Amino acid sequence: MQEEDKHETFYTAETKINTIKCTPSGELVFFGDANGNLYTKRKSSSNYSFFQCNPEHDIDIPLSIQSINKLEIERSSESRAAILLSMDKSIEIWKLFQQPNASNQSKIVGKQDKILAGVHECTINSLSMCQNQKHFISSDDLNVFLWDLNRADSVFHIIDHKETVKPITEVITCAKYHPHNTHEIMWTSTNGSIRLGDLRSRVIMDKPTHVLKYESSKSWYYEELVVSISSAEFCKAHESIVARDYFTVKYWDLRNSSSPYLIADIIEDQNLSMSDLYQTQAICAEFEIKDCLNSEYSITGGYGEVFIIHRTTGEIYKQSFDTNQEILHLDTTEQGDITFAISECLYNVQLSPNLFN
Amino acid sequence: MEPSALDLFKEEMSSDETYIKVNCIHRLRTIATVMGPDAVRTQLLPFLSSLLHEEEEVLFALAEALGSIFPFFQNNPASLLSSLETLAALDETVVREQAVKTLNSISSSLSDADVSNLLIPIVLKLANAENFSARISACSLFTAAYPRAGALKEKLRSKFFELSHEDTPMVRRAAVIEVGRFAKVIEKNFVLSDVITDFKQLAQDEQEQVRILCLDSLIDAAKLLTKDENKLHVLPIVLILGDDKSWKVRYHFAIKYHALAEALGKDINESSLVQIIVQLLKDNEADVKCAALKSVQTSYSVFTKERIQSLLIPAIDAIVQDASLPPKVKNNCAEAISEMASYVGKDTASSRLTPMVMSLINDENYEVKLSMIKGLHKLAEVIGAEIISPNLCGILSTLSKDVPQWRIRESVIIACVDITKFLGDEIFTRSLQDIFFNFLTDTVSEVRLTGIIKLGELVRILGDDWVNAELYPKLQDIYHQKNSVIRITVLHALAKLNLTVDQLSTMVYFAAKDNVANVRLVLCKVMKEIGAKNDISTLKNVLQELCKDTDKDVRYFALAALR
Repeated sequence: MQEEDKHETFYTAETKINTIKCTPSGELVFFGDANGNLYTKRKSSSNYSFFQCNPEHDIDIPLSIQSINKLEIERSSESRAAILLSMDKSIEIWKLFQQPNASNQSKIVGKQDKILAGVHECTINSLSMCQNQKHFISSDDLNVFLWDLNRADSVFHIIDHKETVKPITEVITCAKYHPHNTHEIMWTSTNGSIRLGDLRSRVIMDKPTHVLKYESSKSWYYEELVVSISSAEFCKAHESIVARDYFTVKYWDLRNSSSPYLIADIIEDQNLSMSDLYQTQAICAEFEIKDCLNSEYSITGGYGEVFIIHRTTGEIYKQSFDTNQEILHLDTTEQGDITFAISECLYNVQLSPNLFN
Repeated sequence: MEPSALDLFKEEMSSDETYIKVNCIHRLRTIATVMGPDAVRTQLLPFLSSLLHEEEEVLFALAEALGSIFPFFQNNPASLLSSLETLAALDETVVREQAVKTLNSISSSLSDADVSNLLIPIVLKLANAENFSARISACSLFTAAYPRAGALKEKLRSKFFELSHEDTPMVRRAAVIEVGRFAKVIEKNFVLSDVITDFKQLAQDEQEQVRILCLDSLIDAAKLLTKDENKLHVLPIVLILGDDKSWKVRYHFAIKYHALAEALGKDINESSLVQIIVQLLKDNEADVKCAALKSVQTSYSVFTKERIQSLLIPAIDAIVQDASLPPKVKNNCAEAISEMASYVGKDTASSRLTPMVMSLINDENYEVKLSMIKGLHKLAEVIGAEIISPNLCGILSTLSKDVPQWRIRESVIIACVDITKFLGDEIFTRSLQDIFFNFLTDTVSEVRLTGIIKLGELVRILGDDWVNAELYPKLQDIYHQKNSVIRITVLHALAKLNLTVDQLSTMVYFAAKDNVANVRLVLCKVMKEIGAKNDISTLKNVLQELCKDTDKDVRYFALAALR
């Protein structure tokens, strides 16, 4: 076990944190919670600002408070940022910028810019920004939509899952843009398949360009739940996709995609009882996986642990915290530190540079 | 002591509400006029520079307002230009675009010296900035700065082309939009050497958006070159774009086809471009086909008759025969065929277009049917009486009666009259008349109303002889039906005709004794209408009787008619 240079810091949100996103430089971190609060924190300053994304309402009239499910950074610079966030079935665009106070300090001011509603009929499960800073895709269980930020009144329905998969035995769990190619997207589903699409080839993607599916040797009772991909990403510096399902992390090579080239077992299943997991709904936990900036490794959470998986060797480094709660949401920066959330608390951990030696 | 204009301005700008700040900025010119030129330079502008952390809407208003106070800085614009430079380097699109716009409009008022010493260094500084937003803004400033650059022209040119080959796709995109305009201001020999080379690379850029915008700029540039130069340099690039892998590029190409054909001229169009549009008509993607059809519809004038016959007609025929296509494609097809008729002449239209027309009228989808019926009169104009084949009549007859979509029935009625304009009365009486008269008994009021309007037109075309011989007997016939609505329709129809008093009187007497009050009411209205045109004083007694009618509305309208 290596000596880690741990540096934990601690922030508390109002309720459960649902999504975290850091700018690559690590200067800003944005996170949203289940009460519809959007938080911003500057790394250099110790305080953080937050904004309530739900509309103001009378206390007497009960209104369902929407939680922030997913968050994506449209663009960010030193003094300004634009954020996309999804609340249940609508997407909001927020503009944040700094304003100097009377006392020469700067306050982060946030303004709700647009609400894109009425398009999604199911809960939105992912948002992904295109590299050209103009387009983004949003996905729910059955559809993926392509949006143009310059023309927010028109949205393009690119994938209709009901047409692609007949009859419906699986739903979409996550959809992402390629970090460099503006025409490549992927979407993952509950039966463990990852579909790749090329936006240039057809208007509506009724047939994906490629399907990556892992054929497991053993077949068992709870298989359907276990193979569901909770989160996946294109690697930023390598032509691969990294995907997380409940027990494993799989790396697929896009140039040779018959089977994954690395399967890392994250949660050893000896001590777990599947029926327990099923009954407590723990099996449905959606762990996020993030690829680090030079694609050397990826990070993902477990129960009170954060796993760091090396892409080529398959070594797994585990950092434990004295809690049993699931760590679902996390993000990383180019400095190699990890920001993650346990329930409503946000933590930041610095990784040692010699992690895998 | 009275607060100065500047103090008031500062106070409003410290408000929390955005709209107050924006309104304040819109009044900047007034404030500057009050303050006077010296104070504007020494006090106002420094204060404005401190506002550069404000939110987007305020900055957008500011970028515009800085242009309005430029006259105060005519002699010494350095500080103003530097504020605009900062705004042009920001991330927010609307702010930097407005800043660029202001800079471009100011540049024409700058002296030559200022352009060389101030504006061009700003352009180059933005173009070399690390922040890509600044580089994007720089792209749009070259066109205005170049003509007066003098010795710096070489530098500006090389910088511009450097930007269009950058790694960052957003910058390439901004550059490619400007290339067409930039080509207009640079010397022609550079257009051929640098701009064309630029286009060659951009047409094969990996970013789809860049390729799409390349086409637009290319059209602009093509207008500057001679035909031979276009053939040699521009045409190869155009051919590459027309065959692109991405459907969006092909779609855009189809949309811009007409502009492209005009810019390149008839010869090139004849030899090469027409092949591309035919290919696009055969494209796999329905959207591309639709765009191609729409373009073809408006561009017939650039094709020769021979080309239309040999290339376009087969391609469109293939679309008509293809059962798997979505209705919108066939819709556009119907429109394209209708327009084509006047360009191909009677023989071709009759022999080759008519089968396609029949096929589309028989299509399952009602929108396709509708489009084709609407276009029928254009074909009738060219083909003449031959278009009214028994086949067509049979179909129109069915369509006017049995089809549940009332819009189709309505359009058939309209088509009958429009065709008659070109074909004359005999055709109408022989073939279309029965179909037309169906409107009288239609269940949907909109159809009946349209029919009556068209009846007015028909009467003018066919004249009173027809009215007396065919229409009046028919109206009398239909009148005696159980449905009061039909009787009302007939009465309305009467208003459009020039009948003699005798002819009118029979119907009038019947109507006045009608059981249904509505019929009597309409009779009064109709008599008023007829009375305005012709003399029917002999029928006045009918109205006078109706003034004593049991229904009060009938009484009212009878009185109104008598006046």
